[in-house]
Amino acid sequence: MTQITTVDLNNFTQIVEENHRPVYNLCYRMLGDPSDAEDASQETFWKAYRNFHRYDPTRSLLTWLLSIAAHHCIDELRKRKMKTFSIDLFADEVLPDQAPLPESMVSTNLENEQLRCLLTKLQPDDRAAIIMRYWYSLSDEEIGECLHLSISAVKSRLFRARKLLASAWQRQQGESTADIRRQHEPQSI
Amino acid sequence: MNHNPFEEWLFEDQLTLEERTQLNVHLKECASCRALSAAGLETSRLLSNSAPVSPAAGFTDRWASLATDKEAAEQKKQVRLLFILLASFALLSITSLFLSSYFSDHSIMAVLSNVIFNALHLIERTIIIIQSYRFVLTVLPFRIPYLMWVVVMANAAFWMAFWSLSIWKFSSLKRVFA
Repeated sequence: MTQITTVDLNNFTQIVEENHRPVYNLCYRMLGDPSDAEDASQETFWKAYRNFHRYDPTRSLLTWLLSIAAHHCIDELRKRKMKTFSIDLFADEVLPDQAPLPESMVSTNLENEQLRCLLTKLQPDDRAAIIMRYWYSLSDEEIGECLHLSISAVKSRLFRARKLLASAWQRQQGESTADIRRQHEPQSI
Repeated sequence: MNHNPFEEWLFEDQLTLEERTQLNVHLKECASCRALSAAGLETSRLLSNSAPVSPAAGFTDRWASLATDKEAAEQKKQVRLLFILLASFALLSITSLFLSSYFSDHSIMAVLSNVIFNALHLIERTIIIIQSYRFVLTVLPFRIPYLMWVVVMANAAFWMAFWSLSIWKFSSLKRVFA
């Protein structure tokens, strides 16, 4: 990992090159959309560049970047929640094409889609904690440092998130089983 | 069947041996908790096995271009702000010059020369004050007894330490950015 204490645009470009994949992945898992994730990760690096003087070199640079990205995404999700009402008014126009996808694409994206659906069930803070634990294997202390939470708060968020994910998974599986059953039932005329 | 506290234990990180044994016994008897446990394991598997996603190629170039644009925009904004400040200052000076001239029945040139005269006078006074301080500082140390110096310096050191400590305390409170 590059050790840079003072930074200019050229130096920082190297930092972006080394860290953009994990930052983008976090933003994508948080927001669930490639275009939003691209914007959020670009903004994360811009914020980091502008505030580089606040970076403590004794800490991991990636953890610091992930912390900025997580906070940015949490803010974005809160803003979205506030806009939900106005979007709902035009929901019919905004909804993507509902036509069935080719079978190969469906099987490739199925797990990702299931995961995306599951993660949307979580509160933004809980989602960030789960992503940091499973994709970056951060410890409770590191997650707490990133999200500005105490260790006990991290533990309770992870616990709540796991429980909610399991219940959501059960519901999801129940619904798909019911769908399959409905499809196989003879049509009554 | 009562699922408490087993439903909670399913998602706990650290269980004692006794709790683990009780949970296993309960799982053998309870289909509902067994299903929830399986769902928990499945979601953990899904999360652990999911590969990280990468952005489209050229992310760093796109960022560099965005950062250059943003930096240029910020510089432009700063220049604009400086220009507005200078223009406002000039406008205010000219307006006050005209107003003084209007209310004092003097010509603008007279007011202007008066302002310049006062400014020069102020600079002259400042220089005299600085020179007097310098003189006092070079002469006084030899006139004041040593004991007096010790008392004054100890006082100054105490108040400096107190001031630094309070500044440090306040700044450490604000140091919350990641």
